[in-house]
Amino acid sequence: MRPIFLLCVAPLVAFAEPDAGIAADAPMPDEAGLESLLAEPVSTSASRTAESISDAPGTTWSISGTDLKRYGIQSVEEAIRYLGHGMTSYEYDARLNAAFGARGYMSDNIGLHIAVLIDGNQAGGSAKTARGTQQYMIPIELVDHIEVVLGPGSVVYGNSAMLGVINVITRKAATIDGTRAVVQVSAGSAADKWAKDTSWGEVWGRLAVYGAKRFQLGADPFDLAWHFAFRWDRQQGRSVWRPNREVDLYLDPLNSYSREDVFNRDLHLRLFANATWGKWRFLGSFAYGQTTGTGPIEGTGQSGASEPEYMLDATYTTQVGSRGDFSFRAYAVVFDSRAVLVPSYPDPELCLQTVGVSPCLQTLHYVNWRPFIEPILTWDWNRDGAQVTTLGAQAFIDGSVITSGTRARDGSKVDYDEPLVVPLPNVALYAQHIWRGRSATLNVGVRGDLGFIGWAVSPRVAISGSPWSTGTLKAVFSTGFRQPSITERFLEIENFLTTNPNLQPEHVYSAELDLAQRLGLQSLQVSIFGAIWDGLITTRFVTVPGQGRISQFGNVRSVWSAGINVGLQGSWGPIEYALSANYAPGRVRLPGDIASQTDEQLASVRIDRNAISRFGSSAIGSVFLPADGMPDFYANGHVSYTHTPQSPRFSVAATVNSERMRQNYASETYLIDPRNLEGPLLPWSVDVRGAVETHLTDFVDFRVTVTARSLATTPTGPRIGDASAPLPRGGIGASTNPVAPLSAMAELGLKL
Amino acid sequence: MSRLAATCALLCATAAAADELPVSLQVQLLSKMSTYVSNFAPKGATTVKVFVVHPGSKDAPSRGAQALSGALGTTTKLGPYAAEVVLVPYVDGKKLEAAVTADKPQVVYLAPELDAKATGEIVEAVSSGTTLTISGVADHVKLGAVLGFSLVEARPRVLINLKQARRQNIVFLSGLVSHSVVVDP
Repeated sequence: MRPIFLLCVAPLVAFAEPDAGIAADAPMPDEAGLESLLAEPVSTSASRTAESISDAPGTTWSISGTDLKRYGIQSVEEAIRYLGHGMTSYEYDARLNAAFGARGYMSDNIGLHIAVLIDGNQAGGSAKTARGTQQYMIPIELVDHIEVVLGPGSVVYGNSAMLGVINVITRKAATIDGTRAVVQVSAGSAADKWAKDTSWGEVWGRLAVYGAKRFQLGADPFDLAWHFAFRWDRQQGRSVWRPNREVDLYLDPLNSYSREDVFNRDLHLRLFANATWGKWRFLGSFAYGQTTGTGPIEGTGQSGASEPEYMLDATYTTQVGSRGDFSFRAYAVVFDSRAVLVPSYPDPELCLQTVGVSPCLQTLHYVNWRPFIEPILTWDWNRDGAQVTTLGAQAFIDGSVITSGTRARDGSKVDYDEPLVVPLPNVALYAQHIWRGRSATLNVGVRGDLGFIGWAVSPRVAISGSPWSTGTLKAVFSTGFRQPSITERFLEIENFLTTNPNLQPEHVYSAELDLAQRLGLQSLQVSIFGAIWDGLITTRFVTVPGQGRISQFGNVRSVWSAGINVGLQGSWGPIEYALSANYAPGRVRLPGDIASQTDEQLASVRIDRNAISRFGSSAIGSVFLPADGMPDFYANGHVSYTHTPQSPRFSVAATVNSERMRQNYASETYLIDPRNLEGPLLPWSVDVRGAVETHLTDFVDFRVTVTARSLATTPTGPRIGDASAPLPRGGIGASTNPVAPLSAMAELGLKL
Repeated sequence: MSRLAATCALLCATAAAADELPVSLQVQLLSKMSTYVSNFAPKGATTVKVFVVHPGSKDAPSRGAQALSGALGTTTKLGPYAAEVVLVPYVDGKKLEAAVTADKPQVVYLAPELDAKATGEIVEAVSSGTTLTISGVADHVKLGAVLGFSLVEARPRVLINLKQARRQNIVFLSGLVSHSVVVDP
């Protein structure tokens, strides 16, 4: 028997004599090489096959579930803001809808330009605008990691995958040790310190319980992971500016708007589960939201909404012969929103006609449903992964039933309009081939989508190679699109909005060169990109006989962008860190003769002549304006330290955005508005979050986070002053935005 | 000790159920790890023999075995050694033991399709020598494979079954263990 020499410095076992018994001529270990391989995440989102992120066809970033908990992250938006790469984001309105920006374009349209998935299920993102990005919709404690693929990804994911793809991967049952509970309470200062009632400020509480269970079901075990979360929010001390229609905007600007307090009281609960059983995998969720307040639901009084959502997803996977894998996914989601609103502009005549009393309330019942099927065949030609073809198809319906009506304030009588039933069928086919050679990997794919509103072809070509052992170079050309929404295509409001039968999908075309370099436990990603956003949908003015000049959605914007994304992450002794720095300016491209066009022509593209003269610059036969809402520079970083595994851990995350233009600053009414004479430029903004966590016992963890935000840059609407409050300038504590400038959260984690 | 035991249980459970690491990455890691096993190959050897043991037949190896064989064939070397790959259909423990005794492979790589019973028998078949058993299935490590791979929060993890390593007198350099999760069932 030879002696045993197990020479360990593992956390659990320690042995004496380091490296004793090693032959003198033994080859030297390549520790840096091993560390760098272990530090590189694996991703499946970019091509639906597991591969190192350096091989993935796009700039890919992984956010660990540990970091989500470590930094007190509550939503996908927060994860992107503090821990992501290449993207910037902010909460869009008082309901915490999110806006995401990347590579020159800011999608303020509640997430319509980004695909947010949960375990590959697209229902959470594109099907229902940004609901999938809301904090209530993500089972944070059950998240294993989040994969972020920067740049267009419609070749695989179709509609909405323009800015990128965010895939939330949940933990499998066997990785969950027992049943656990998390209790969180948070308090924050009022979002608008000049609000009349700041009594509650921004408070919320949350309880989450999660666990796993294994059953024997027939021949195979049934592994179930479950997560239940309940959250209560109360926000008091926010305000909105409501126009006074009786006051002339230009003659008396300060009195043409009045500040109005708004509040929210929200209850949300969500039960989420994933399970595996033999060749089957299941996802299911039930969510319920009950909201009361004002805020995005405009009105001068209390409005409310009740919003249950149901989702069930099943995937069957089997081998086909010796080379193929076949999977069939089917899911359905139903989102049922019933709102009662106080009208912004009461119409006594309508109330009397419909319910016989005035004033009255408006009702809006919106049901969105999405049945979805997706067969996928993967064929491994050589049975070694070197030549793999994927063929897939999707068929789904983005269906809606919208019923509006009026209701007496006491609920005694309700009058409903004719329901608007819009079942929008879509089909898609896609093909991808991956060729993995000794020196390079080629990924070629194309997808075709045909829907009721339009069609799109989305190709992608990516080639990557490793010219040296620790580095990878990639070149990627990719495309993305977004179908017009039901509202954009079909909504018609007399004397205000008309439909546009010629409305077409938006497109983005992107090219990038990427360098990925591993340096031991550090990894560096550098991406140089150029992108053209074409046919972006926004409102314009058109003249309609009998209605005069009214709004219409049209493909009226084109944005060009180019820049660089630099990401660095790794660990250095007990310090773990990541940094993302991005210079990604976007510019609205206009014809070179735009300044000589008539006012009517300018109105048709919602460009004000003053915007051209003040902010336009000429180049290559075109005039360029800054893209609204999107900063040229944005960055985030986080660093975490603990002395020993048993010591308290200290973590800090921060994000910064450079100056940016307000949304719609270039429209014809914005710049001539005397309240905006100082300009539409919003200042730099910084968010900082610090966190301390400690293990009190084997069964109890404790965490505190403190967040300071200067997000005075919510680029929506005129944030003007009135007689009682100054113009917001940004800076911590000077915000009138729908977020608390200063907040703190305490968390208790329990192992039950 | 109870804290250590609880931590171990958590780590082991976490490691065991994560998804499998892509085969190409397994082979890249193995290439780096080979130099951490001091008795990986005889002194002066330039080639190591790798048995890829699978539940298929000689004419129709399992998919996982073929992928492993392809990836091992693509890589130029396992550390400083050239790799000679042999696909071995698993029939029973005795036949495998005889093959190991005859051919003296340095590595027995377990195909992912092998079930628990076969894995246990393979572990027993090689336990009398220093042949390194490796698998991309974390559960195989719990069943006695000496080394394995796993994914934890999307990052690769090396798993080591120290108990089995001791049993086979396999000697690791400390650097490998410090980057690994110890599975001690």
